[in-house]
Amino acid sequence: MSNLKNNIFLILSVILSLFSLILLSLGLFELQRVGDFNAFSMDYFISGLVCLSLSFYLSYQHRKIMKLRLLGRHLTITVVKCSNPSCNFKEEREFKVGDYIFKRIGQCPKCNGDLYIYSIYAQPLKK
Amino acid sequence: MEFIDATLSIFGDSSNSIIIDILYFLVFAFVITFLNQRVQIWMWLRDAENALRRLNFLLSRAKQTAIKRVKELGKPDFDPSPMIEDFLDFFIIEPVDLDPRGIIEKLDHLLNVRDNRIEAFIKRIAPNVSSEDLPNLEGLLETVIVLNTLYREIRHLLLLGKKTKNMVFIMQLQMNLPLLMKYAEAFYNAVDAFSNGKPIGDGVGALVVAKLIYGKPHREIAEKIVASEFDYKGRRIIALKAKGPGAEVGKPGEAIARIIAENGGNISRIIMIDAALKLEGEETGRVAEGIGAAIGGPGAEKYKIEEIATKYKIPLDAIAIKMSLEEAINTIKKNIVMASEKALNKLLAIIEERVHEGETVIVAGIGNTLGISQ
Repeated sequence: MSNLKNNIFLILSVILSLFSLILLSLGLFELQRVGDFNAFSMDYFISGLVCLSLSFYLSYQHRKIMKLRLLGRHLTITVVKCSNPSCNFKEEREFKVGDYIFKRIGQCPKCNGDLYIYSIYAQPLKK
Repeated sequence: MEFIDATLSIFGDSSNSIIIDILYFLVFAFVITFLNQRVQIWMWLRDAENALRRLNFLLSRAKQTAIKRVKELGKPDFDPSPMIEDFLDFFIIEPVDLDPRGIIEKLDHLLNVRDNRIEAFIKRIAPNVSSEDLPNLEGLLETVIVLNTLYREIRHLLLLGKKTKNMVFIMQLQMNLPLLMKYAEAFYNAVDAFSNGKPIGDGVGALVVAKLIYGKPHREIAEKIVASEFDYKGRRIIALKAKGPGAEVGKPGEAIARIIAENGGNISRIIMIDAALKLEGEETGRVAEGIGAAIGGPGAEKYKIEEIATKYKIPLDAIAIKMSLEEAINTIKKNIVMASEKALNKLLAIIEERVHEGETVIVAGIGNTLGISQ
Protein backbone atom coordinates (compact mmCIF):
# COMPACT_ATOMS: atom_id res chain seq x y z
CA MET A 1 0.00 0.00 0.00
CA SER A 2 2.80 2.43 0.97
CA ASN A 3 4.62 1.43 -2.24
CA LEU A 4 1.54 2.46 -4.24
CA LYS A 5 1.40 5.77 -2.32
CA ASN A 6 5.07 6.44 -3.08
CA ASN A 7 4.63 5.71 -6.79
CA ILE A 8 1.24 7.39 -7.34
CA PHE A 9 2.80 10.24 -9.34
CA LEU A 10 4.64 7.79 -11.56
CA ILE A 11 1.48 5.73 -12.21
CA LEU A 12 -0.55 8.86 -13.03
CA SER A 13 2.24 10.10 -15.25
CA VAL A 14 2.28 6.82 -17.23
CA ILE A 15 -1.54 6.84 -17.60
CA LEU A 16 -1.48 10.45 -18.80
CA SER A 17 1.32 9.85 -21.28
CA LEU A 18 -0.61 6.88 -22.73
CA PHE A 19 -3.72 9.05 -22.96
CA SER A 20 -1.74 11.83 -24.65
CA LEU A 21 -0.34 9.28 -27.11
CA ILE A 22 -3.90 8.21 -28.05
CA LEU A 23 -5.02 11.83 -28.44
CA LEU A 24 -2.03 12.79 -30.57
CA SER A 25 -2.55 9.69 -32.78
CA LEU A 26 -6.22 10.63 -33.19
CA GLY A 27 -5.12 14.13 -34.19
CA LEU A 28 -2.72 12.69 -36.75
CA PHE A 29 -5.38 10.34 -38.07
CA GLU A 30 -7.86 13.20 -38.42
CA LEU A 31 -5.21 15.29 -40.19
CA GLN A 32 -4.56 12.43 -42.61
CA ARG A 33 -8.30 11.87 -43.17
CA VAL A 34 -9.15 15.47 -43.95
CA GLY A 35 -5.79 16.32 -45.55
CA ASP A 36 -5.58 19.74 -43.89
CA PHE A 37 -5.42 21.27 -40.37
CA ASN A 38 -8.89 21.86 -39.11
CA ALA A 39 -10.27 22.82 -35.70
CA PHE A 40 -11.09 19.20 -35.00
CA SER A 41 -7.51 17.85 -35.37
CA MET A 42 -6.20 20.88 -33.45
CA ASP A 43 -8.46 19.93 -30.50
CA TYR A 44 -6.83 16.53 -30.37
CA PHE A 45 -3.35 17.99 -30.59
CA ILE A 46 -4.00 20.57 -27.86
CA SER A 47 -5.59 17.99 -25.54
CA GLY A 48 -2.69 15.60 -26.23
CA LEU A 49 -0.11 18.27 -25.44
CA VAL A 50 -1.91 19.27 -22.22
CA CYS A 51 -1.89 15.62 -21.08
CA LEU A 52 1.77 15.27 -22.06
CA SER A 53 2.83 18.35 -20.07
CA LEU A 54 0.86 17.14 -17.04
CA SER A 55 2.57 13.78 -17.36
CA PHE A 56 6.01 15.49 -17.43
CA TYR A 57 5.08 17.54 -14.35
CA LEU A 58 4.01 14.43 -12.43
CA SER A 59 7.13 12.49 -13.37
CA TYR A 60 9.21 15.50 -12.22
CA GLN A 61 7.40 15.41 -8.84
CA HIS A 62 8.07 11.66 -8.58
CA ARG A 63 11.78 12.26 -9.30
CA LYS A 64 11.88 14.90 -6.56
CA ILE A 65 10.38 12.47 -4.01
CA MET A 66 12.78 9.69 -5.02
CA LYS A 67 15.73 12.08 -4.72
CA LEU A 68 14.68 13.01 -1.17
CA ARG A 69 14.41 9.35 -0.21
CA LEU A 70 17.93 8.67 -1.43
CA LEU A 71 19.56 11.51 0.52
CA GLY A 72 22.32 10.83 3.02
CA ARG A 73 23.29 7.32 2.01
CA HIS A 74 26.88 6.72 2.98
CA LEU A 75 29.14 4.15 4.51
CA THR A 76 31.51 5.04 7.36
CA ILE A 77 35.00 3.58 7.05
CA THR A 78 37.46 3.03 9.90
CA VAL A 79 41.17 2.96 8.98
CA VAL A 80 43.36 0.92 11.34
CA LYS A 81 47.16 1.34 11.34
CA CYS A 82 50.14 0.01 13.23
CA SER A 83 51.88 2.51 15.51
CA ASN A 84 55.29 1.07 14.59
CA PRO A 85 56.69 3.53 11.98
CA SER A 86 58.64 0.78 10.22
CA CYS A 87 55.55 -1.45 9.85
CA ASN A 88 53.22 -0.56 6.99
CA PHE A 89 50.20 -2.52 8.22
CA LYS A 90 46.96 -0.75 7.30
CA GLU A 91 43.41 -2.07 7.24
CA GLU A 92 40.09 -0.52 6.24
CA ARG A 93 36.82 -1.84 7.66
CA GLU A 94 33.27 -0.69 8.30
CA PHE A 95 32.79 1.62 11.31
CA LYS A 96 31.65 -0.03 14.56
CA VAL A 97 29.96 1.82 17.44
CA GLY A 98 32.70 2.59 19.97
CA ASP A 99 35.35 3.39 17.33
CA TYR A 100 37.13 6.72 17.64
CA ILE A 101 40.28 8.24 16.17
CA PHE A 102 43.47 7.26 18.10
CA LYS A 103 41.73 4.42 19.95
CA ARG A 104 44.12 1.55 20.66
CA ILE A 105 42.52 -1.68 19.48
CA GLY A 106 45.04 -4.46 19.96
CA GLN A 107 48.23 -5.81 18.48
CA CYS A 108 49.52 -5.73 14.93
CA PRO A 109 49.37 -9.17 13.24
CA LYS A 110 52.61 -8.36 11.38
CA CYS A 111 54.95 -6.91 14.01
CA ASN A 112 53.05 -7.15 17.35
CA GLY A 113 53.10 -3.35 17.61
CA ASP A 114 50.12 -1.37 18.88
CA LEU A 115 47.21 -1.10 16.48
CA TYR A 116 45.22 2.13 16.60
CA ILE A 117 42.41 3.78 14.66
CA TYR A 118 44.14 6.24 12.36
CA SER A 119 41.10 7.68 10.64
CA ILE A 120 37.32 7.53 10.29
CA TYR A 121 35.49 8.98 7.31
CA ALA A 122 32.23 8.81 5.38
CA GLN A 123 32.19 7.40 1.89
CA PRO A 124 29.13 7.84 -0.35
CA LEU A 125 27.48 4.59 -1.41
CA LYS A 126 27.63 3.90 -5.13
CA LYS A 127 24.17 4.09 -6.77
CA MET B 1 -10.81 1.75 -37.55
CA GLU B 2 -14.14 1.30 -35.84
CA PHE B 3 -12.55 2.25 -32.53
CA ILE B 4 -11.19 5.49 -34.00
CA ASP B 5 -14.55 6.36 -35.56
CA ALA B 6 -16.30 5.67 -32.26
CA THR B 7 -13.81 7.87 -30.41
CA LEU B 8 -14.22 10.65 -32.95
CA SER B 9 -17.97 10.54 -32.50
CA ILE B 10 -17.50 11.59 -28.84
CA PHE B 11 -16.58 15.01 -30.10
CA GLY B 12 -19.20 15.02 -32.89
CA ASP B 13 -18.35 15.88 -36.48
CA SER B 14 -16.13 18.73 -37.60
CA SER B 15 -19.11 21.06 -38.09
CA ASN B 16 -19.71 21.38 -34.33
CA SER B 17 -16.00 21.27 -33.17
CA ILE B 18 -16.34 25.03 -32.74
CA ILE B 19 -18.20 24.22 -29.46
CA ILE B 20 -15.05 22.54 -28.14
CA ASP B 21 -12.98 25.57 -29.18
CA ILE B 22 -15.36 27.90 -27.35
CA LEU B 23 -15.24 25.65 -24.29
CA TYR B 24 -11.43 25.68 -24.36
CA PHE B 25 -11.42 29.45 -24.69
CA LEU B 26 -13.88 29.87 -21.80
CA VAL B 27 -11.89 27.54 -19.53
CA PHE B 28 -8.62 29.32 -20.31
CA ALA B 29 -10.19 32.77 -19.93
CA PHE B 30 -11.68 31.76 -16.56
CA VAL B 31 -8.40 30.23 -15.33
CA ILE B 32 -6.28 33.19 -16.47
CA THR B 33 -8.68 35.82 -15.13
CA PHE B 34 -9.83 34.37 -11.82
CA LEU B 35 -7.76 31.36 -10.88
CA ASN B 36 -4.16 32.11 -11.84
CA GLN B 37 -3.14 33.48 -8.43
CA ARG B 38 -5.15 30.85 -6.60
CA VAL B 39 -3.52 28.08 -8.60
CA GLN B 40 -0.10 29.60 -7.86
CA ILE B 41 -0.88 29.87 -4.14
CA TRP B 42 -2.20 26.32 -4.16
CA MET B 43 1.05 25.08 -5.74
CA TRP B 44 3.21 26.99 -3.23
CA LEU B 45 1.16 25.73 -0.31
CA ARG B 46 1.42 22.20 -1.68
CA ASP B 47 5.21 22.53 -1.76
CA ALA B 48 5.23 23.83 1.82
CA GLU B 49 2.92 21.03 2.99
CA ASN B 50 5.15 18.41 1.37
CA ALA B 51 8.20 19.96 3.03
CA LEU B 52 6.44 19.98 6.39
CA ARG B 53 5.45 16.34 5.95
CA ARG B 54 9.07 15.44 5.20
CA LEU B 55 10.25 17.48 8.19
CA ASN B 56 7.75 15.74 10.46
CA PHE B 57 9.10 12.40 9.22
CA LEU B 58 12.71 13.46 9.88
CA LEU B 59 11.82 14.80 13.33
CA SER B 60 9.96 11.66 14.41
CA ARG B 61 12.83 9.43 13.17
CA ALA B 62 15.37 11.64 15.01
CA LYS B 63 13.27 11.49 18.20
CA GLN B 64 13.01 7.70 17.96
CA THR B 65 16.80 7.43 17.55
CA ALA B 66 17.38 9.74 20.55
CA ILE B 67 14.97 7.77 22.77
CA LYS B 68 16.54 4.48 21.67
CA ARG B 69 20.08 5.72 22.46
CA VAL B 70 19.00 7.13 25.84
CA LYS B 71 17.46 3.76 26.74
CA GLU B 72 20.53 1.84 25.52
CA LEU B 73 23.17 4.01 27.20
CA GLY B 74 21.33 5.34 30.25
CA LYS B 75 19.30 2.22 31.09
CA PRO B 76 16.54 4.18 32.90
CA ASP B 77 13.92 2.17 34.83
CA PHE B 78 11.17 4.42 33.39
CA ASP B 79 10.07 5.54 29.93
CA PRO B 80 12.05 8.74 29.09
CA SER B 81 9.93 9.55 25.97
CA PRO B 82 7.50 12.07 27.56
CA MET B 83 10.39 13.89 29.29
CA ILE B 84 12.35 14.10 26.03
CA GLU B 85 9.23 15.30 24.22
CA ASP B 86 8.82 18.10 26.79
CA PHE B 87 12.48 19.09 26.67
CA LEU B 88 12.39 19.65 22.88
CA ASP B 89 10.81 23.06 23.48
CA PHE B 90 13.83 24.14 25.58
CA PHE B 91 14.90 27.69 24.72
CA ILE B 92 17.45 30.33 25.67
CA ILE B 93 16.58 34.01 25.98
CA GLU B 94 19.41 36.17 24.70
CA PRO B 95 20.59 38.97 27.00
CA VAL B 96 19.30 42.49 26.40
CA ASP B 97 21.47 44.39 23.91
CA LEU B 98 20.01 47.90 24.35
CA ASP B 99 22.92 48.53 26.70
CA PRO B 100 25.78 46.41 25.29
CA ARG B 101 28.04 46.94 28.32
CA GLY B 102 28.88 43.57 29.89
CA ILE B 103 26.79 41.62 27.35
CA ILE B 104 29.55 39.04 26.78
CA GLU B 105 29.68 38.13 30.48
CA LYS B 106 25.90 37.83 30.53
CA LEU B 107 25.94 35.64 27.40
CA ASP B 108 28.75 33.48 28.83
CA HIS B 109 26.78 33.05 32.03
CA LEU B 110 23.63 32.04 30.14
CA LEU B 111 25.58 29.55 28.01
CA ASN B 112 27.05 27.99 31.17
CA VAL B 113 23.57 27.72 32.66
CA ARG B 114 22.28 26.14 29.45
CA ASP B 115 25.14 23.59 29.33
CA ASN B 116 24.60 22.67 33.00
CA ARG B 117 20.87 22.38 32.47
CA ILE B 118 21.19 20.06 29.46
CA GLU B 119 23.79 17.95 31.29
CA ALA B 120 21.55 17.66 34.35
CA PHE B 121 18.61 16.68 32.16
CA ILE B 122 20.62 13.94 30.41
CA LYS B 123 21.74 12.58 33.80
CA ARG B 124 18.09 12.51 34.89
CA ILE B 125 16.76 10.61 31.87
CA ALA B 126 19.88 8.43 31.48
CA PRO B 127 21.10 7.80 35.04
CA ASN B 128 23.63 5.12 34.06
CA VAL B 129 25.26 6.91 31.14
CA SER B 130 29.08 6.91 31.13
CA SER B 131 31.04 10.18 31.18
CA GLU B 132 32.27 9.42 27.59
CA ASP B 133 28.75 8.96 26.21
CA LEU B 134 27.17 11.87 28.11
CA PRO B 135 28.37 14.63 25.70
CA ASN B 136 27.24 12.54 22.70
CA LEU B 137 23.71 12.33 24.16
CA GLU B 138 23.82 16.10 24.75
CA GLY B 139 24.80 16.68 21.11
CA LEU B 140 22.10 14.27 19.96
CA LEU B 141 19.43 16.02 21.99
CA GLU B 142 20.53 19.46 20.75
CA THR B 143 20.27 18.21 17.14
CA VAL B 144 16.71 16.99 17.75
CA ILE B 145 15.90 20.38 19.36
CA VAL B 146 17.09 22.15 16.17
CA LEU B 147 14.92 19.87 14.00
CA ASN B 148 11.94 20.45 16.29
CA THR B 149 12.45 24.25 16.10
CA LEU B 150 12.65 24.11 12.29
CA TYR B 151 9.48 22.02 12.15
CA ARG B 152 7.54 24.37 14.44
CA GLU B 153 8.73 27.48 12.55
CA ILE B 154 7.74 26.12 9.12
CA ARG B 155 4.39 24.86 10.45
CA HIS B 156 3.75 28.31 11.95
CA LEU B 157 4.52 30.10 8.67
CA LEU B 158 2.44 27.63 6.63
CA LEU B 159 -0.62 27.91 8.87
CA LEU B 160 -0.29 31.69 9.01
CA GLY B 161 -0.08 31.77 5.21
CA LYS B 162 -3.19 29.60 4.91
CA LYS B 163 -5.05 31.78 7.39
CA THR B 164 -4.17 35.14 5.84
CA LYS B 165 -4.10 33.95 2.18
CA ASN B 166 -1.34 36.52 1.73
CA MET B 167 0.41 35.73 -1.55
CA VAL B 168 3.71 37.52 -0.73
CA PHE B 169 3.90 35.76 2.62
CA ILE B 170 3.35 32.29 1.14
CA MET B 171 5.78 33.06 -1.70
CA GLN B 172 8.52 33.97 0.79
CA LEU B 173 7.98 30.72 2.68
CA GLN B 174 8.06 28.62 -0.48
CA MET B 175 11.19 30.36 -1.78
CA ASN B 176 13.07 29.81 1.47
CA LEU B 177 12.06 26.15 1.63
CA PRO B 178 14.98 24.67 -0.38
CA LEU B 179 17.52 26.22 2.02
CA LEU B 180 15.52 25.32 5.13
CA MET B 181 15.06 21.75 3.96
CA LYS B 182 18.76 21.50 3.15
CA TYR B 183 19.52 22.43 6.77
CA ALA B 184 16.86 20.01 8.04
CA GLU B 185 18.33 17.10 6.04
CA ALA B 186 21.81 18.03 7.30
CA PHE B 187 20.68 18.06 10.93
CA TYR B 188 18.83 14.78 10.44
CA ASN B 189 21.98 13.16 9.05
CA ALA B 190 23.91 14.58 12.03
CA VAL B 191 21.73 12.40 14.29
CA ASP B 192 23.56 9.33 12.95
CA ALA B 193 26.96 10.86 13.76
CA PHE B 194 25.98 11.94 17.30
CA SER B 195 24.18 8.70 18.19
CA ASN B 196 27.07 6.49 17.03
CA GLY B 197 30.01 8.72 18.05
CA LYS B 198 31.34 9.30 14.52
CA PRO B 199 33.70 12.28 13.98
CA ILE B 200 32.08 15.26 12.22
CA GLY B 201 33.50 17.80 9.75
CA ASP B 202 33.52 20.55 12.38
CA GLY B 203 36.05 18.52 14.36
CA VAL B 204 38.80 18.96 11.76
CA GLY B 205 40.58 21.63 13.86
CA ALA B 206 40.61 19.28 16.84
CA LEU B 207 41.81 16.48 14.53
CA VAL B 208 44.84 18.54 13.39
CA VAL B 209 45.88 19.17 17.00
CA ALA B 210 45.13 15.54 17.95
CA LYS B 211 47.59 14.44 15.23
CA LEU B 212 50.12 16.95 16.55
CA ILE B 213 49.92 15.82 20.19
CA TYR B 214 49.29 12.09 19.65
CA GLY B 215 51.50 10.02 21.94
CA LYS B 216 52.60 13.04 24.01
CA PRO B 217 51.57 13.66 27.63
CA HIS B 218 48.66 16.05 28.16
CA ARG B 219 46.65 17.56 31.02
CA GLU B 220 43.19 19.11 31.44
CA ILE B 221 43.84 22.85 31.52
CA ALA B 222 40.32 24.32 31.50
CA GLU B 223 36.76 23.02 31.36
CA LYS B 224 36.83 20.06 28.95
CA ILE B 225 40.05 21.26 27.29
CA VAL B 226 43.30 19.30 27.21
CA ALA B 227 46.73 20.80 26.54
CA SER B 228 50.06 19.23 25.68
CA GLU B 229 53.43 20.93 25.98
CA PHE B 230 56.44 19.84 23.90
CA ASP B 231 59.43 21.06 21.92
CA TYR B 232 59.51 21.28 18.15
CA LYS B 233 62.80 22.26 16.50
CA GLY B 234 63.78 24.40 19.45
CA ARG B 235 60.35 26.07 19.79
CA ARG B 236 58.05 25.41 22.71
CA ILE B 237 54.55 24.45 21.56
CA ILE B 238 51.50 24.41 23.84
CA ALA B 239 48.76 22.69 21.85
CA LEU B 240 45.18 22.46 23.05
CA LYS B 241 41.91 20.92 21.93
CA ALA B 242 38.59 19.86 23.45
CA LYS B 243 38.76 16.63 25.47
CA GLY B 244 37.67 13.73 23.27
CA PRO B 245 36.30 11.41 22.13
CA GLY B 246 32.96 12.79 23.41
CA ALA B 247 31.07 15.56 21.59
CA GLU B 248 32.82 18.45 23.38
CA VAL B 249 33.89 21.90 22.24
CA GLY B 250 35.09 23.01 25.68
CA LYS B 251 36.13 26.55 26.55
CA PRO B 252 39.22 27.28 24.44
CA GLY B 253 39.04 31.02 25.24
CA GLU B 254 39.37 30.31 28.93
CA ALA B 255 42.20 27.83 28.29
CA ILE B 256 44.19 30.26 26.12
CA ALA B 257 43.76 33.05 28.69
CA ARG B 258 44.97 30.70 31.44
CA ILE B 259 48.06 29.60 29.46
CA ILE B 260 48.98 33.21 28.66
CA ALA B 261 48.55 34.19 32.32
CA GLU B 262 50.66 31.20 33.45
CA ASN B 263 53.43 32.32 31.07
CA GLY B 264 53.18 35.96 32.12
CA GLY B 265 52.17 36.99 28.60
CA ASN B 266 55.41 35.59 27.19
CA ILE B 267 53.80 33.97 24.13
CA SER B 268 55.07 34.85 20.66
CA ARG B 269 52.00 33.73 18.62
CA ILE B 270 48.59 32.09 18.88
CA ILE B 271 47.70 29.85 15.93
CA MET B 272 44.08 28.70 15.68
CA ILE B 273 42.79 25.97 13.36
CA ASP B 274 39.08 25.65 12.68
CA ALA B 275 36.53 24.55 10.09
CA ALA B 276 35.12 27.47 8.11
CA LEU B 277 32.02 27.76 5.96
CA LYS B 278 32.90 27.66 2.28
CA LEU B 279 31.19 29.77 -0.34
CA GLU B 280 29.25 27.95 -3.07
CA GLY B 281 31.72 26.93 -5.77
CA GLU B 282 34.64 26.62 -3.36
CA GLU B 283 36.28 23.25 -2.96
CA THR B 284 35.64 21.26 0.23
CA GLY B 285 38.84 20.71 2.19
CA ARG B 286 40.64 23.79 0.86
CA VAL B 287 43.05 25.10 3.48
CA ALA B 288 43.16 28.89 3.79
CA GLU B 289 45.34 31.07 5.96
CA GLY B 290 44.51 34.38 7.59
CA ILE B 291 44.67 36.31 10.83
CA GLY B 292 42.28 36.66 13.78
CA ALA B 293 40.54 34.36 16.22
CA ALA B 294 39.31 31.39 14.19
CA ILE B 295 36.41 30.29 16.33
CA GLY B 296 32.66 30.23 15.76
CA GLY B 297 29.82 29.97 18.24
CA PRO B 298 27.95 32.73 20.08
CA GLY B 299 31.09 34.86 20.55
CA ALA B 300 31.94 34.57 24.24
CA GLU B 301 35.09 32.46 23.66
CA LYS B 302 36.18 34.59 20.69
CA TYR B 303 35.90 37.69 22.88
CA LYS B 304 38.13 36.19 25.58
CA ILE B 305 40.82 35.27 23.04
CA GLU B 306 40.76 38.68 21.35
CA GLU B 307 40.87 40.45 24.72
CA ILE B 308 43.93 38.60 26.04
CA ALA B 309 45.73 38.67 22.66
CA THR B 310 45.20 42.45 22.42
CA LYS B 311 46.28 42.98 26.03
CA TYR B 312 49.67 41.29 25.45
CA LYS B 313 49.90 42.29 21.73
CA ILE B 314 50.16 38.64 20.67
CA PRO B 315 49.70 38.03 16.91
CA LEU B 316 46.77 35.74 16.03
CA ASP B 317 47.13 33.42 13.04
CA ALA B 318 44.19 31.47 11.63
CA ILE B 319 44.08 28.33 9.52
CA ALA B 320 40.64 27.60 8.07
CA ILE B 321 39.53 24.34 6.46
CA LYS B 322 36.63 25.03 4.11
CA MET B 323 33.41 23.02 4.10
CA SER B 324 29.65 23.49 3.83
CA LEU B 325 27.29 23.56 6.81
CA GLU B 326 26.08 20.04 5.98
CA GLU B 327 29.65 18.74 5.85
CA ALA B 328 30.45 20.47 9.15
CA ILE B 329 27.71 18.68 11.10
CA ASN B 330 27.79 15.31 9.31
CA THR B 331 30.30 12.45 9.48
CA ILE B 332 33.69 13.75 8.33
CA LYS B 333 34.44 13.20 4.63
CA LYS B 334 37.63 11.71 3.24
CA ASN B 335 38.74 14.97 1.58
CA ILE B 336 38.36 16.81 4.91
CA VAL B 337 40.47 14.15 6.65
CA MET B 338 43.08 14.63 3.91
CA ALA B 339 42.84 18.40 4.39
CA SER B 340 43.77 17.92 8.06
CA GLU B 341 47.18 16.61 6.90
CA LYS B 342 47.64 19.67 4.69
CA ALA B 343 46.62 21.96 7.56
CA LEU B 344 49.10 20.21 9.89
CA ASN B 345 51.92 20.77 7.38
CA LYS B 346 50.90 24.40 7.00
CA LEU B 347 50.83 24.80 10.78
CA LEU B 348 54.36 23.39 11.15
CA ALA B 349 55.56 25.64 8.30
CA ILE B 350 54.10 28.72 10.05
CA ILE B 351 55.79 27.73 13.33
CA GLU B 352 59.17 27.28 11.62
CA GLU B 353 58.80 30.53 9.67
CA ARG B 354 57.31 32.91 12.26
CA VAL B 355 58.26 31.52 15.65
CA HIS B 356 61.94 31.88 16.53
CA GLU B 357 63.90 29.27 18.44
CA GLY B 358 63.33 29.52 22.19
CA GLU B 359 59.93 31.18 21.76
CA THR B 360 56.57 29.76 22.87
CA VAL B 361 53.54 29.35 20.62
CA ILE B 362 49.96 28.36 21.44
CA VAL B 363 48.24 26.09 18.91
CA ALA B 364 44.48 25.76 19.38
CA GLY B 365 42.43 23.16 17.50
CA ILE B 366 38.87 24.45 17.60
CA GLY B 367 35.72 22.43 16.99
CA ASN B 368 33.62 19.54 18.20
CA THR B 369 35.92 16.66 19.06
CA LEU B 370 33.25 13.95 18.67
CA GLY B 371 34.95 10.66 17.82
CA ILE B 372 38.47 12.16 18.09
CA SER B 373 40.67 11.32 21.06
CA GLN B 374 44.10 12.78 21.82
